Amino acid sequence: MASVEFMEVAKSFGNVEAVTDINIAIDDGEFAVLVGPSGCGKSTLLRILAGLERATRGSIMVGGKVVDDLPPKDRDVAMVFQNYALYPQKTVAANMGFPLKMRGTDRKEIERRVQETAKILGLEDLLKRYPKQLSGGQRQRVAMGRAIIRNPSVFLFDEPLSNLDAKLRVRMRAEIKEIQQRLKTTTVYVTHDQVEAITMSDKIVVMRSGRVEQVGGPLDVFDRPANRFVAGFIGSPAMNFLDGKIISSGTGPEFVTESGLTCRLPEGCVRDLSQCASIGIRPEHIDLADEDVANAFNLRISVVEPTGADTMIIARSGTDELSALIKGRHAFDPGDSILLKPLPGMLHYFAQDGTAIHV
Amino acid sequence: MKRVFARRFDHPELLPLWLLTPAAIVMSVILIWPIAQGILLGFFNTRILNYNAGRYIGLANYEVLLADPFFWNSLKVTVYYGIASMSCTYALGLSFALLLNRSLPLRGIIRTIFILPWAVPEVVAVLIFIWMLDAQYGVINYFFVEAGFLDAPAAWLAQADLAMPALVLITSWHQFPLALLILLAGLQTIPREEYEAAMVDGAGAFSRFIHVTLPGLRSVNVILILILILNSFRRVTMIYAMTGGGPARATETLSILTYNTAFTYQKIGYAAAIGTVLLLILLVFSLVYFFTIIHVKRDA
Repeated sequence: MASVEFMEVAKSFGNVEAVTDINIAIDDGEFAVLVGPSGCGKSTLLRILAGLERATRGSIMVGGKVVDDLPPKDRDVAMVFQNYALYPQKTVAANMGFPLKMRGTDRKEIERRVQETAKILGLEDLLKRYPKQLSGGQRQRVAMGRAIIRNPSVFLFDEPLSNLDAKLRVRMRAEIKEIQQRLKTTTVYVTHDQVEAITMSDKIVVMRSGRVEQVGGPLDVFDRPANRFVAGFIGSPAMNFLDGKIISSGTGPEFVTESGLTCRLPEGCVRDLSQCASIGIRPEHIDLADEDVANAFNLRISVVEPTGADTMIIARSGTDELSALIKGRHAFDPGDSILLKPLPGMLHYFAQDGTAIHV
Repeated sequence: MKRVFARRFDHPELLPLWLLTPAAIVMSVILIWPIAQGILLGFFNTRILNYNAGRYIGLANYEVLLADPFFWNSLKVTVYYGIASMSCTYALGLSFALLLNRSLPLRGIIRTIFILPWAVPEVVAVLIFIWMLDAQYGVINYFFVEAGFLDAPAAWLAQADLAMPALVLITSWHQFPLALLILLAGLQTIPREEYEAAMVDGAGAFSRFIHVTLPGLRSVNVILILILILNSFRRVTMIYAMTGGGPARATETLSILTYNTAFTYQKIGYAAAIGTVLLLILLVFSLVYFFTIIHVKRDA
């Protein structure tokens, strides 16, 4: 078991800076998820931690020890690759036993641990098979078995679920989390899927263009995004943004968009009215307003998507667009006008440069 | 005329037969007919002079063959040459393939240079090597003596125990580009993640070679080794130009024995019998090759 720390880490490939100024501290036993759009440098960071790439600047500590000069095998980390990277000419048992064999463990002990690990992962009946005879989910489990068998200080996962179909992905997500909770091994998990990130993590690191945008607990990041990028990236369906400004009217502060849409805001909710350049509202934080009230947006429905339990409405006014997830089933028609109000206290405010203004 | 065509196309299932016929005729004339002739000739005591006087003598050629020490010597030489040249060619090819599989500066140019030996005609290569191996002027002798491997310049091609190593040397020099190309292609199919997984799993460079590289080359290896052995059994030009099978039959492989028997000793019936034995050996290898390829294809 060990903590992991990135200190001022940067990596360039030729002239291209892949990651810059990375400072992340992951506690012992924590499940940390690096999330961001593709090309944001999250996999590079994981590979630097594994020892497969060398940082151009900065240091990495595992368990309080600087590991920059150690080869992968001496870092006591185990890695699960996106395409599993199983050894195709070895059986499942030999694949899982390989890390132990490389460490000179004796054959009886390897056999015992393979059995033990296979039991945890439900692979007992597949031990004599070859990777190509397994389904995607089974291969995924073998790759995990190969990682957990030697009881490393840190698990590294590089988009391990992206090759699985949607249903299996949800199941494997729960399985990985359950195993991590049982073993309490520090885990660094890379994904581009923000749902995976929120559901699995103790700590989320949101990245963009080689930089860390925000580090925090999954619900912190969801509730108090540091900027517009994080706000839009985390959460599904994605947050709505309206550009505009806040003006003071006789009845209190009012938000006016560029196309003239207005909505009254709860009084005294914004400390500095002048800085706010846009507001954000999550679709699930929007409700129907019964009558023509001042704190609602008046829009025209363009798309209605019933999801079964809820109804998703996309409505427009000029260049402004709002998606709203309304509880229950509603009979709306495209073209109808609709009044939508943000739930009190659920608005996010952003300055011109995108940083959040916290209330 | 029209009627004939119309009638033919009444049976579309026969179309493939019609399309294959020309190729089948050509194959029979230039391949199957000579082979059949050769096998048949093995049952006659034909000589080149007065060719038509040859008589049918049943299996007499084969009886002589089994008691012929030169035949057994040849078989031994063939096996020795096959295994030695295959091993050296493979080792050279694999070394350079591993080298070229890394990211080197000027990799494209280096690769082209390494392919060049293969483009040199066999006879030209042999002439250069004979010159290099020359006892008086040869550069190889010069280096070996200077480096202390030899006390005095050796007459490589005139000594029974040195001729075969010299032959293996030139064969592997000339043939290794083939091995290099095939092995390089094989190496490039091994995913990088497998190496990275092995690194994280604790494998050093040697273990990665044993557990990732070699298994990854397995299907390519089988095919390459069979091709190299097949080629060495069939090779005539290079050996003939280099030693003619000598000295003292030290490099007389079955194909050279066949050639010498036919055209030096003019016993063409007997030569045909030797050739038939060689044909059977090659046939076995070809069948193994054929079924291996089918197996490899199915695996993929």
